[in-house]
Amino acid sequence: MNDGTGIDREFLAEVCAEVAKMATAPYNYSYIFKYIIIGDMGVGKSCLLHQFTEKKFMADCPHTIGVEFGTRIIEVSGQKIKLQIWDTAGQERFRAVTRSYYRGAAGALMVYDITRRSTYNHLSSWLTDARNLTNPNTVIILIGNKADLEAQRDVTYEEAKQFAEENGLLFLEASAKTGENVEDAFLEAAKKIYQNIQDGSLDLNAAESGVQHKPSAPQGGRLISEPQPQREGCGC
Amino acid sequence: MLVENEHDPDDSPSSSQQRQYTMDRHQGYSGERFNRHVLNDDKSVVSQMQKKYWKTKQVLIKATGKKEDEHVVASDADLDAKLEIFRIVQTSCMDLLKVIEKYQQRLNTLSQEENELGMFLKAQSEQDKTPAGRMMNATSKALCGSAKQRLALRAPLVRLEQEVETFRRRAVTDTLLTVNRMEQSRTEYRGALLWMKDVSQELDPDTYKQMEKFRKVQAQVRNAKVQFDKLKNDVCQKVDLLGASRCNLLSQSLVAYQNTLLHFWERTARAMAQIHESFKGHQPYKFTALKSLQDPFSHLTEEELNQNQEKEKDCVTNDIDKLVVLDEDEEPEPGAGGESEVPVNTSNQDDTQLAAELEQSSNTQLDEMVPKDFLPDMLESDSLEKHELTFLNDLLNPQSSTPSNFSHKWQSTFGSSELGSEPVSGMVKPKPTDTPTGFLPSELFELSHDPAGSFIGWTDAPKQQPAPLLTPQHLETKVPETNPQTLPNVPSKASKGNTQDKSAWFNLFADLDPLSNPDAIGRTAEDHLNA
Repeated sequence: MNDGTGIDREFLAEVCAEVAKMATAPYNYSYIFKYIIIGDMGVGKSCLLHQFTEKKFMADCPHTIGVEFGTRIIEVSGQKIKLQIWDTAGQERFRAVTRSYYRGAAGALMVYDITRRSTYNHLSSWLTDARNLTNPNTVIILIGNKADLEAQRDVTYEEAKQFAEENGLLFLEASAKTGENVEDAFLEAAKKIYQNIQDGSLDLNAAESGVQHKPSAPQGGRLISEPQPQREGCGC
Repeated sequence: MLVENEHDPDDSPSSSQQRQYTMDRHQGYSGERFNRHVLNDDKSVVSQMQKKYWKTKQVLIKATGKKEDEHVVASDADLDAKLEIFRIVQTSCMDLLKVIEKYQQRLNTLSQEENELGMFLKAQSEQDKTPAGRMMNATSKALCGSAKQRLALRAPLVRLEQEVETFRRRAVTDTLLTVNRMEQSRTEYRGALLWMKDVSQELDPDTYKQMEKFRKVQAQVRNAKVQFDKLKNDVCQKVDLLGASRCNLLSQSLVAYQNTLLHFWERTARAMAQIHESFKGHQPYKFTALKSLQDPFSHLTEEELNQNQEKEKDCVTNDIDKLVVLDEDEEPEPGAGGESEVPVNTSNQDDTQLAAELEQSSNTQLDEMVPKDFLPDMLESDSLEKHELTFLNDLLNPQSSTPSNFSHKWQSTFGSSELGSEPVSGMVKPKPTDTPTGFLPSELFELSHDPAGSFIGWTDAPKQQPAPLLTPQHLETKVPETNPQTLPNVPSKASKGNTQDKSAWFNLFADLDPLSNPDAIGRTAEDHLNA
């Protein structure tokens, strides 16, 4: 209704509501979980991440230099959780560099390649690093990647399962190429972490729990947003 | 880094619709897409300064020898091994040149002395009408002849020296250049890694500033890595090629030298043997030695009758030793006109026998002139000389059953059967000093290109070269054939760094070990030269 000032109040109100909704849109997650992906060079860490976040298989993956990041929002028990995933470099020369990334991880995906025995054999050293550099509550999940290459399998499911059980790890065989179990991998870990939060074994106030709860409102100078394809509503 | 961006250029409405997941309506993203908008300004002064700072830090670490990160060092293990090989090739080339130089000098001196002895004997023989005089005459001829022949050894040595010098000047220095470039690149790379480590200490992907820093470092590391990897490959290939071509060089040049040497020994031994034959049955003279020299005669006569073969061997080399003492280093030349005393008939060493006979008959005339402790000091013989005499025996009598380490190596390397048993009839002419033949790595490289990188290509290379190889034809074929035997395990697996097909040829030398046989060819020669 036009009151003569040239401004349609209703329209304005609607716009404001939309803007408000959009402003809060990025914040409709309650937690941020930090994940790290570790493992030997070439087992498929970057591909797993890419498959998880973009539903695509990257055939020609360059070596990760240092670390790469990925993010996605998932839902666990009705709660929206943003996953901040650190995909570390597997090459040995980056070992000292990547050791700094373990700090404050809520979950760790330890990846090996089922078609290369050596990557499985190195798991104990990766596990040692993970245990030493993260907090005791960190959820570690063992992933046997390249499960689609059944013909070249070099590590049986059973022995890996046993290794995981002996060390208190979750275990899944996955394939970044076909997408099999990729989402489950990230989800299972998230469920476990959430469970830990619920039953109190994970202290949210601890500095390096790896979990942030209810991210605060944007502070000055800090650009936080995700380019969400949320075009709902806004007519402008 | 998350950028507030409503209009995502990559995200057309249609593609965003494709990303409708069941889980959530928010698309995820990773990798480079995570951080599209960070300015990667490498050119700014600040970043240049930072780069320099970290590179300098790494230089300091290297210079002060502080312990570097073990993982970084471990990842370069294969490169370091290749560098080790390269250093060894470098130093051994230098050593070889020095040794050849010394050897030539000594050959000259020895030859000179021998000649003078011969002339002296001749002069004496003209005044002596007894059979002793004839003996002296014959001996003098033999000695002078031997002196001349010895000089013939110089030619292949000179040739070898030229080859090695060319090799060193061109091939080794070229590889050195590449190594230096690689080291520089490595320092830069490691500096960048240090920087990345530093930045990683406090890293939060949700913080724009930090991500910007991180991306900068990451780009730097990436560039340095690419450069370093390329140079690393270059170095590995060059070192492999260097080692292989040097093996080739040595095995070619040393054959000529060996033939000349054996021929010389054969002829000298034969000449001396003839003299011995013709003067058999003469009474041995008693003689006295100069007091200034070692061990009295009486010491010898006691043990004369109890001699065994072994001691006799020592005598010979000892005498030779004393006879040709030129400077502080003893340089016994086994086999050439050795002199000793009482022979044991069962000895299978013609030369020592003959020398013994010869010695006794000509001794009295030579008291004052020649340093002539003809009396052996059997107790002073050291193992080296024993060693050499055994070696000489094995060489001339290849059926001998006492393979010392040395002779065994020699045999396996050069195949003594065809060299020892047959008198080398064709005189090995001294090589004409023309342009050096193709032993440089680059020539080897080209030769290998036609046959598609097979190992056969390498052993055939010597035949294809236009070098005026002097060895008799069958010898030439023998030498390359024995080479494969002496090469340590020729690896069939390719080294992981090489992806091209023709690099497969170089991979064969990835495992060349300087301390085992192929370079031992050089070492046996050196050992011999130092003998």
